[in-house]
Amino acid sequence: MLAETRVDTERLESTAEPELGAPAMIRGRSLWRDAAARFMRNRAAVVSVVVLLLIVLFTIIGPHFAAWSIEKIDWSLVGKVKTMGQPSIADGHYFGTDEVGRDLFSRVIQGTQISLTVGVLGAAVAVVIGTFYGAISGYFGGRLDSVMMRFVDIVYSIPFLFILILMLIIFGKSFVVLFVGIGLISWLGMARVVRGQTLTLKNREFVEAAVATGVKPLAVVFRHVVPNLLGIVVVYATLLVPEIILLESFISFLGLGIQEPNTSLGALISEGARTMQYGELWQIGFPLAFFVVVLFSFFFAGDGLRDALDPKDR
Amino acid sequence: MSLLDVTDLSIGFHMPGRDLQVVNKVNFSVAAGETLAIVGESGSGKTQTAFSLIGLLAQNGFATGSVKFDGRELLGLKESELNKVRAEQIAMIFQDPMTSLNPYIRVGEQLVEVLKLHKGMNRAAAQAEAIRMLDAVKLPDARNIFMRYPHECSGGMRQRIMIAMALLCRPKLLIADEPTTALDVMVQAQMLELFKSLTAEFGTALIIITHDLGVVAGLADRMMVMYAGRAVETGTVDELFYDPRHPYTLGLLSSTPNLEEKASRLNTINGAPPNLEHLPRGCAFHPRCAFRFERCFTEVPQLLDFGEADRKKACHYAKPLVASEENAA
Amino acid sequence: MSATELLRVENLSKTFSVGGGMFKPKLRLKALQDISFSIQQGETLGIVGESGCGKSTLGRCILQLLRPDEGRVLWLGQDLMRLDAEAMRKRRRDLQIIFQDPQASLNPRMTVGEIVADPLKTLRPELNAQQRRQRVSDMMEAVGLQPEMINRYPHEFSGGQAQRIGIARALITEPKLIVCDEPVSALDVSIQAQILNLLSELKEQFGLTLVFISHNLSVVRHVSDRILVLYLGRIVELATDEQLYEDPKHPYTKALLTAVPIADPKRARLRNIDALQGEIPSPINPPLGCTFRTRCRYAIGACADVRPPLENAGDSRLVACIRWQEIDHMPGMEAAEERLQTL
Repeated sequence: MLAETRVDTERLESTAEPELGAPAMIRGRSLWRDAAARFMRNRAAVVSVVVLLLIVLFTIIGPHFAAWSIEKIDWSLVGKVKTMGQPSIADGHYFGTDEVGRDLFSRVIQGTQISLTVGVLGAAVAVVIGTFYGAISGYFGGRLDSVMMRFVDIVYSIPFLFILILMLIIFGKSFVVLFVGIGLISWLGMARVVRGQTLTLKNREFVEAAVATGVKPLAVVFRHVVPNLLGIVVVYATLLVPEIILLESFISFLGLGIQEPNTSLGALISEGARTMQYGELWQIGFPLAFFVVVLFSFFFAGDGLRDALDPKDR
Repeated sequence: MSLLDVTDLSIGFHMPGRDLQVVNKVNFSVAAGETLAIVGESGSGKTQTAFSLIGLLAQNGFATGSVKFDGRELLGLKESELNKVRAEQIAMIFQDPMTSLNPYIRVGEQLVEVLKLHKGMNRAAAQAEAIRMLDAVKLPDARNIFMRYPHECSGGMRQRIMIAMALLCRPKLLIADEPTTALDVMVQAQMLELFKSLTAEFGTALIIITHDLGVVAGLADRMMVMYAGRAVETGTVDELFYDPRHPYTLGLLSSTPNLEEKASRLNTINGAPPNLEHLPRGCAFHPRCAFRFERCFTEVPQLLDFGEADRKKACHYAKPLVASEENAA
Repeated sequence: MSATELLRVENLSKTFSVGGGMFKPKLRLKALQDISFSIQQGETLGIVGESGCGKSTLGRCILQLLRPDEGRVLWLGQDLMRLDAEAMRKRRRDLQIIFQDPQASLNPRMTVGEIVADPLKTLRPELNAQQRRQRVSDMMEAVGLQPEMINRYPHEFSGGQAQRIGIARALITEPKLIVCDEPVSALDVSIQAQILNLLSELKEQFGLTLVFISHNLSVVRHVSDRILVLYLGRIVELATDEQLYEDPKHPYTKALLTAVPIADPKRARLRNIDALQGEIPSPINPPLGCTFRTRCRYAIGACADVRPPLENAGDSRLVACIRWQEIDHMPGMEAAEERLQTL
């Protein structure tokens, strides 16, 4: 226990009296800046963020270089995909083609776009709903909290995957249904986490101070409690994105998710898996590579965030 | 020869990009059976000094100088050797009894473990000795406490258990880091009485680290005042309380509200403790000192002997600070 | 007696429910029982006691940060307990609090300027941004901080400076009464002295009335005019600082005063410390009758029968002990006092 105590220079630095004769407004060093500095020192995390940015950039710029659209079938290759469908610069199929003859380059770009969109949007929705729900529940406590959390428990215990699949079958396999379905449960974990943090925070003296200065309860929650939660929310959200991507990919892999001609990484991997036996490895290789890189990058970035936003700062 | 002789002890920490010095050439000694108080405020380096004596510095800490215990150099000892010194020769109790005891193991077990490890006792003998020690620290119903978990005991009880654990192997020196800071007045008084009786009974020397001058006055024989990583004054408790020779010592004494008299204003020390990374030139205390003169701005005062036996101060100002019949000379 | 009575507390009680669950009943922790006292304008009332005596709870009950279960809290004659949320909010302009842990009492995500301005936003909405800024600046200076610091964050300040910020925040709405909950306990000795001096200067400057809660008797002596001693949720003694420290009447107070460390080696060696046996009983099951009797050297059978009422001990001081007059004349304590006097 003792071996882990490090003399905290940040604390030591702050004991210095402010230099006298410095009349200009001094900009403070917020905790976010400290966290950003710590994040920058974590090489794996920084590399991950750069990689993610490059991928996003790729999905934006890539289509300009694509010689083929996502659905146009290259009739010259039909039936001869195994021998002529490999990745080549010459015929414009940079990543090769899929089994039907469509350009894999464009399809991978689109798949990545869709997976990222679903992931980020889904996480965003989860963050907003979950934070709102968890903060209110945790701060007001009592019966409201019990009811709200029991609701979460009940929804959580429903076997989600089955329900989602059922929904897709009943309401049709559309992007909207998928999105709604994912949105319906991804906020639950966030709500629990936020509520837990709120319970800790609401007993802190600065919250008491806010109450003592007459701030109304809702204002206390959103002006004082939530800003101090953001650290944990951001970390959780960063880890939620890959989870959602995985979920969507799984659904698409099963054939229930994104429908033709649109595609997602999961669907591409699914198709690619089916043709592995023919030796057309590029069809699974490219989407899988993108998939893995995106996931790993989010995980590393999330880890980096968690380390940077040290608990003592909250 | 003293039990503990610390010479030119300096402690620093490796930080990203630089080394930070937190203790600078501290000298003191403790005789057998004596109680020494190390006094200072946050940032004075008193806790790190204590930690360094038994090798408890953090991973990035390093200590230079000499720490001789019973004639034997402790700095630089291998971990295995140091382990033998800990508990058997030098024991330490920490400020927060909550976190110093393992919450998952019963109190008795933790005591027995120490005895089995360091004294090679078998279980029965260890148990008997543990209960005897719990009695010695005046815990009511020692057998009952033996079976309890730490969270089932109050703060004061836990602190006594810590003391019992520390004294199990009859160490020659006990180091107590702010042992009474977290305690109530009554419990604190009980604790100090306990320290006095135990050190008398077992002949243990005691180093007590504290910022509470009241505690020092009631318990210690000698004291050392630290400021910004340096020892600024040492001597007997009476000498420092009635004839302080360092302005910081005087400042500390004046800042302490007196129970017996109500003052209209407390004489404070202006300003705040310095940033260890940007110490002022010359004497580290001079920006806050009422007795400073030119020399103080440029020359760091060394800890030098003056007056009678074993009295030291690190101050350029030569005259007494407090007027009284005793030091009119 | 022309001083106005600002606050009057009558028969205040507060109980907490702890533990319990599906199969165990909840336990009732009696934090405060039947507390009554009043505060005059311009005075500093010190509240002392050890852990669990309820002093922090009392401070919060006065400000309605915790709702008392019984009793009345009369502020300028009006019972705060009966006010609705909106009316109470308006009263908060006059009733403020300073907390023990300076860093914890400041929102780490807000700048210091925002923190100090916040009460103005809530309680003085008629002020515009410029006026707010001016007041914040003035207040920062009043507490000894540079106004240029307003864009810094709490963690960039030392403990003493952070507490000054807390004081600035408490003062910015120009309150009449401030509850100081252990305001210097977390600070170094020399900084403590600075803050205590600051508090007494500000009290003069702004005409404040203070409730000073602390476990440190020396500090309380220094700042208070009158002192309330609490034990296990009940008042045991109420007296002026001189009366209390020079002539304590309640056995608990007497024992407490002998136990306070004195920064004077000669006196420390001579004093007779009455450290009392055992520890404070649990507030879940306080002893019947006088709660202090289990540790009191003067306890007799009658002490268990009835709760000792707060009696007038002359000179408008109160003691809650059925034997206080007898104890006054007992030899034991006098001998110790005499020994001290011969120093």
